[in-house]
Amino acid sequence: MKYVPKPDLDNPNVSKSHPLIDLAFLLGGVTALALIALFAFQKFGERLVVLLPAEKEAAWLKNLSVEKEFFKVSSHWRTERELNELLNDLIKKTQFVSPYNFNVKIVCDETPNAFAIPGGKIMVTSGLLERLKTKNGLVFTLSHELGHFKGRHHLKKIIRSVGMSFFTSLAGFESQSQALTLVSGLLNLSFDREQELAADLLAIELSKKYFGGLNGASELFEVLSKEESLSSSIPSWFLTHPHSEERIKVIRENSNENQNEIEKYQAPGNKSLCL
Amino acid sequence: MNGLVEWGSVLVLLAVGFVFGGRSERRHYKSIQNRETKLLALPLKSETKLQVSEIEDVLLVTGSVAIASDYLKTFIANLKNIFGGRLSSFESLMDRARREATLRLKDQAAKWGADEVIGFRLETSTIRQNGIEILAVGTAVKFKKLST
Repeated sequence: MKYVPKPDLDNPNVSKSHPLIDLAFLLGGVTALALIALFAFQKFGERLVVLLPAEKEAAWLKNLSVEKEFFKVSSHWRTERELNELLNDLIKKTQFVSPYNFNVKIVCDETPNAFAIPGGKIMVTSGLLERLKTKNGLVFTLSHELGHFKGRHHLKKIIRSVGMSFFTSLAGFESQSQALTLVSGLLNLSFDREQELAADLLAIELSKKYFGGLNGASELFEVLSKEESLSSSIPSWFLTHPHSEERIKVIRENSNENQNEIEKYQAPGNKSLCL
Repeated sequence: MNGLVEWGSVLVLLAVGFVFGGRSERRHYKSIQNRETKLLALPLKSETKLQVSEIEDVLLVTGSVAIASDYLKTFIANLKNIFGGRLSSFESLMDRARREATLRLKDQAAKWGADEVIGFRLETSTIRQNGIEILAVGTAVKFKKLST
């Protein structure tokens, strides 16, 4: 056999794929997998966490006095007692059944706000108490927070943030990073708005039972909308809470013919609540 | 902040890998093709049997090469380890290393004046990760010339 030299024609040993296209597919795949895992964790976690008995929840949190560690709580015991009496009256009259042992505390803060804390604690800021002038507005506020407890929104939120911080630490980000807080915030916004609307609906139901009608129920949102003047131009899907105007509209849509009386109530001012 | 810095540096390294790794690969392939054409006439065989009476001289010839991967190739390969599939980003490295080692062997044999190389073998070893090492071994043979 005579050797005839010939050059390599086609090289079957090297794939023709472009490295950047490979990279795009792989990165896309990894991101998609991580997002699916995060989504599944949160959906599954939310289903699971509502099974936690409220007594267990309260017992676990007994030693962690959230209100002492994170907030300055007012020592104005008289107002605190009044609020707790009002809450108990509300629960009794509306026959609101809940495994929680509710307790209202006043947080020293100028900004009008109220929130639900695991274990059945309802925190109302002194700034909100100063601005609310009627019992109707106060009852609506308290029953809105009861709505959060009914939906176990505080627990679902914990699951959300645990999943999110696990995901971000996996991606190499510190959970406190500003850019990331923004992104995770945006992802959770619609979730927050859904919860707010659900809590509003319960507040509407309880207010109707308590006062017979919804006159004066929208006071909370009138107070909040004054603070909102800046955010009202921002589309609602950028906000954690629905616009106050929208929420007032929901109250109006749900109101009955009954013209109940608006009962005056004025808590002491911010200065006397928080010396 | 930390995360942004980390991802930023990864992006920079990927870009460096793409630009410099790609450029050195194109240059290498060009050089490989030139030298392959030049050394085409020297036969290279894996067969080991020859008529002893025909042989004038033999020499063990070797060609070895180690080529580093670049950041982009390694990154792609690491991601492939999640999903499976061909490590296509390493295929060109393998191909270049194999052909370069063969060329170095042939070069040595040609300089010595070999008529052909027999018993050609390729071997690989690992001296570090994310790089490729190939050793080509063969026996260069000079045949007895017919006396005139």
